[in-house]
Amino acid sequence: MRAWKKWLVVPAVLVVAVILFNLLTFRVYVTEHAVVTRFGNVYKAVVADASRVEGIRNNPRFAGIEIVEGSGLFFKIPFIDKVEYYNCRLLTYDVDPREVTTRDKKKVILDNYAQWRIVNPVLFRVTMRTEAAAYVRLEDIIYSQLNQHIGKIDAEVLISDKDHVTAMLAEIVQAANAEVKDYGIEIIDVRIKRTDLPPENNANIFNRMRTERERMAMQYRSEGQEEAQKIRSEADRQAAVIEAQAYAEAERIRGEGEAEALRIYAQAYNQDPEFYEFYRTLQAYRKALQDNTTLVIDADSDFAKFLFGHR
Amino acid sequence: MDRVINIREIRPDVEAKIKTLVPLVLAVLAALILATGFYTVDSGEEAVVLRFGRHVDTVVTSGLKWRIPLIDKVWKIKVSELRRLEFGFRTVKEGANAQYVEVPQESLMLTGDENLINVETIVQYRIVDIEKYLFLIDKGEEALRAAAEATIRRVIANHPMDAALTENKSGIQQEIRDDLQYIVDRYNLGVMITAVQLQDVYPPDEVDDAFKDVASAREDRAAFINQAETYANEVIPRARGNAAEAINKAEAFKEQRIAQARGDVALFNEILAEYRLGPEVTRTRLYLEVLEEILPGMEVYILDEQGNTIKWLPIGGGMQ
Repeated sequence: MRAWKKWLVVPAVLVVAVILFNLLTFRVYVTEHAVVTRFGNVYKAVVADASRVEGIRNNPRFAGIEIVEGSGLFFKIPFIDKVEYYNCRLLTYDVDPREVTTRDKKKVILDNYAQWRIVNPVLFRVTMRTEAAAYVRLEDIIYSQLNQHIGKIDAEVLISDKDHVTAMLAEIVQAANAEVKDYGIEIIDVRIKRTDLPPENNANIFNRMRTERERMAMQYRSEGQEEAQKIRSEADRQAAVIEAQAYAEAERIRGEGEAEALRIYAQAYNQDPEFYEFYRTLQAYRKALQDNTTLVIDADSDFAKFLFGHR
Repeated sequence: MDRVINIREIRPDVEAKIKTLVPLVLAVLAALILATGFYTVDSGEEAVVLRFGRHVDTVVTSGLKWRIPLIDKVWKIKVSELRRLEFGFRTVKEGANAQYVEVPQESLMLTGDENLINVETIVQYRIVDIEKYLFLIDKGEEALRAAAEATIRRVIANHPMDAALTENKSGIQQEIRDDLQYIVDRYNLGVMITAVQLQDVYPPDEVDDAFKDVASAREDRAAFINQAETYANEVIPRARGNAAEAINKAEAFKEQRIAQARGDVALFNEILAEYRLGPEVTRTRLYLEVLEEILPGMEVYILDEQGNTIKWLPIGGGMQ
């Protein structure tokens, strides 16, 4: 008669088992550390990297602590053991922008961030307890370190010397790590997100940029004019040379013509210079003594003789 | 209505039914629970399986998978997806006519020569190691964003403004990519930076007109030079034309002069030949020919021995 009822036992047992299982165990994700306290005392820590926590045993306060590396399922005593979880991944802490003063007394607005992680949750629990509390501490430490280092360099170096700033930040990380060692924290990296000059400076920068560009524009235009002038004058020069050479050549050719003509005349006239003189005189008469000319001649002249027929 | 049902009477009947139903229901329930263990991994996705929080498996192949229900947790990530971060602007609407808004407080930055410019950048990345990305970093994208912003500004601050504006954009992109990859590797992000693009680099509004004027000054320079070259192209050929003309004229003169001389000489030679046949006669004839030619148009006065002038009336004229 009660045969079917034994089937109902199965879910009941399962429910009880799940409850018991949850009471007796806790799970630690691969992304977190866990700290187990019994009556307020830490007695067990589940951590990502045990080697970073071992040192804690030297502290008499934590001498008996059980350190387990890894993640997964762990046992606890219900109601007595309390489990607290801490992020074991790399955390980004974006620090608010702050004004710092460089060695050359320039004010620079720095916006930086830090990468850090909780390496020792036991120490972290007693010193910081929450990430928010750690942020406040980190900000103080990093800011004071930055301030110290930046006070030793000029604004120009801070803004544009990558290698110097990288080295400086590495030093800051080292120094800050020394300070946060006791908090169970490791700072991986500190980086400057932005270095801006205060907004009041912008007007000056814009003014300088403007005048710089005006200078460039002026230079381009003047260069253009310079180049244009060079090209023009070069063209003029070439033109003048071409024309002058042509003039010389033309005169030479003319001279050749003239010389050739003279040679021809001379050759011909030298056959009988006396006759040429006579012939040429007649031509001259013909040309010179045109119409409406008044001629006064001596009665004894050759001309007259001819005129009066050898009187 | 008056029929009274005695529960006890039908009980054996119900009991039989329950007897068969209960195991069935339990079996179905168990099957349902087991079925919730199925999950799919899409192509391009990878997944890690956590058992009680401990990493037990990484699934890199796509398809239907099974995990222990209620106990195993599966975290999936699209690893093939090309992700992008925008700096200095945000895409409001994607697609054909995409819309953007500028974020000046992000884009305005100092250059190496202490100028201010707006730089809008895209960083493209892919998650290559899902285990690192999920297990080693708390908010991967946030960390990447901070690192990228720092790197972009750092690199821009390391170069003069003109390099970022025009001359060395690709070099700067490459430098940002390399520096960022280095940082990301140090953080063990499991991310590969596939590309960094300087999307838009432009001067601040306050000085924009001065920058535009530089561009137009550059154009002006080219224009001045072009004008001058036009002038040169006009002047030199004209000079060559003038030169050719002058030489041609000279050649013409030369030929003309020689031809003229030859002509003159030819006539003289003819006359000379004639003259040689009878010098006195020809001489007189030539003389008279000239007189004949010129006297008719002239007034001739003859001076006698006493110095008086006698008007000579031309014979030819009188006869005409």
